Amino acid sequence: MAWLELRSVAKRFGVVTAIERIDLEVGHGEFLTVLGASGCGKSTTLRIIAGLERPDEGEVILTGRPIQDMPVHRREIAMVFQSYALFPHMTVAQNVAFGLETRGVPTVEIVRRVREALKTVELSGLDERYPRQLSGGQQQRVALARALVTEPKVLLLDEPLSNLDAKLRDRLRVELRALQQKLQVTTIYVTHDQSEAMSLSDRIAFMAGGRIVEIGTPEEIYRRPRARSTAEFLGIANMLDGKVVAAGQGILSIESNLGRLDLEDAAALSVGDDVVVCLRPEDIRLVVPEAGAPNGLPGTIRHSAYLGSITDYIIEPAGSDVSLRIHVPGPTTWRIGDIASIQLPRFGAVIRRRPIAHSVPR
Amino acid sequence: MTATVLSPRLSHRLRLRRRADRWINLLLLMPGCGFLLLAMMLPICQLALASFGLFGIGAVGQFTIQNYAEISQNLLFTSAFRFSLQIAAVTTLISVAVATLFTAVLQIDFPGRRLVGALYKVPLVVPSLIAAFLVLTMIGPGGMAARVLQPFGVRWPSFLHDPSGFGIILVLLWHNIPITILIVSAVAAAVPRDVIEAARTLGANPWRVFRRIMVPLCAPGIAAAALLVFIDAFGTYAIPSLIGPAFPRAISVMMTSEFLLHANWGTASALGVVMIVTTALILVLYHLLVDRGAARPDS
Repeated sequence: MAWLELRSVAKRFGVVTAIERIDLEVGHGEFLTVLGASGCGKSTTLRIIAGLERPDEGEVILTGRPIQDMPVHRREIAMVFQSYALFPHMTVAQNVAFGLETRGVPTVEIVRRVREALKTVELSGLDERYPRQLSGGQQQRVALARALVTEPKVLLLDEPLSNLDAKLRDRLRVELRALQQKLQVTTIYVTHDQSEAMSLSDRIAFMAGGRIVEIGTPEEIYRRPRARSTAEFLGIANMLDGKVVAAGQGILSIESNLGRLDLEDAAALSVGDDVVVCLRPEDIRLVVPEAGAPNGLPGTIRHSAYLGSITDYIIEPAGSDVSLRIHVPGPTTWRIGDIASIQLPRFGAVIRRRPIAHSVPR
Repeated sequence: MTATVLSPRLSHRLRLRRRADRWINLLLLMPGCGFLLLAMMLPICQLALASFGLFGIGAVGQFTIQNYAEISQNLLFTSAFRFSLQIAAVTTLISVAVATLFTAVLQIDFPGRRLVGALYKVPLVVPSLIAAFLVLTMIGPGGMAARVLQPFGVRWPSFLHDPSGFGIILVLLWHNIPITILIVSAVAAAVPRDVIEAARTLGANPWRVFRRIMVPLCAPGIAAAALLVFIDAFGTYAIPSLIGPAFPRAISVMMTSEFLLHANWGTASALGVVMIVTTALILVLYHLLVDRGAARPDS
């Protein structure tokens, strides 16, 4: 049974539809990330779960009980805000103790649990500081400790790392995941950062235009997206239009505008289907031209950018008007104008092209 | 350092230039500082001197503390001081309490909130003198309330010229509550929404959010509003002179009658000094409270 469930939840703000009948199930102890561009309805979804917004339709069910009419303070769902929202007139210890005081926990236990929580987030010794005396990263940890100390049924995080610099963000990401694993708290995390979503989550729900486009593990979402918008939002995707010309023995043959592609068959498709093939830049390889290689075709290097761990190339296959993004590990070996042989992978997400796009933002 | 390098003639010219700069600075400060000096300090000094019998109109021109002795011993004056202080304190307390609660209620989204939010401002545009007339016609003796109750044999208590100052406080509240709401709600609007929502998700019901989050974060604004209300109520003249009792009288009313009826400039000046000192003390108290509150997180 799902720990938390949204059943056809919808929300409008005036004439603007923020959320269009979404369904979502989150298991106990699961780390689910709601990923999407700004304005896709992900924060509204989170606020509905917290009780800070009222859904116009649908039900929110927590441990089997509908809670959409329950006031915020009775839900036992804690939330960490992008701004941290610490109480500026209270010390760190008072901030963390707040949620325990409201629940009538005895003072002796409050002191013990606050000390424990601050130790968990490695802030011991800063109890008597005020929020404005802390760095951004420290404030973030206080916000996290304040939410976790109440042992909430669900922990909601609304872009909690986006106000931090890149290095700190990276470190806190690792810490956050470790903490969540240790405490086994059901967590819903909202972000627009795909790498954050990939590294933290058990599952990712990708949202666009007020709908959940698809849900899956980070690998499923990245490697086998079922919608074009998902493929495009998560990292760089080379999209090729094509038609299935042969299927069988686990191999799907697709006639694309780069010629015929033989791909390992994963999607349930049949001959004649219009499809989009999504090839990730790190799956495509560049080799010195040599005759007879499978899926190999010549192309001209148009752009190259050295990014440290990889080199990002843009290459134009011969006799075609598309260009491909290709990531090659290590330093730059090809120069602009070089002719290389492109080795298209035998793996790629094949997405059925629908007559109407699945996720057009309204 | 530079002067040692420069020739004596050059350094002399530089000194002259600096002196000229100082005069220009002073000249530029004149409109602002001069105004303060002329319009504020001069009358206050004149008042203070007159209260000690110096440079006053019709005064003996000799230092005396007779005026202060008079106002500290005469029951008319001591009761006036107490009466004004009492009116100001009660008005301030009620204004602040009502305004803070009202602001909290305005935070809740209820039908008709905008209407209520607009209606409370009505007294702001009505002069309090008119409110005093309202008291006369509505709840004064022979006013509407008294006439409505008369057939039932109920005697309406007189709020006019009553020694408790109830009528005066009523009119002062009518005028000061909206001002207080205006200030407190402006401060309340500056409290981040996230902070309130965070408190809610941590299990705080609306009342606890109000007590633990809103009130402490709005405290500087509430204190400022209290200060303004106190100063206004302590020095109010028109309302007590119109509907106040014959005894005790408000300090401003006493002062006016000393000036205008008795031409007793010395006593009136001493009363004025007492008023200024009282208000100044309240101001100091306010700064002590607010500065300590602001300084605390850095300690």
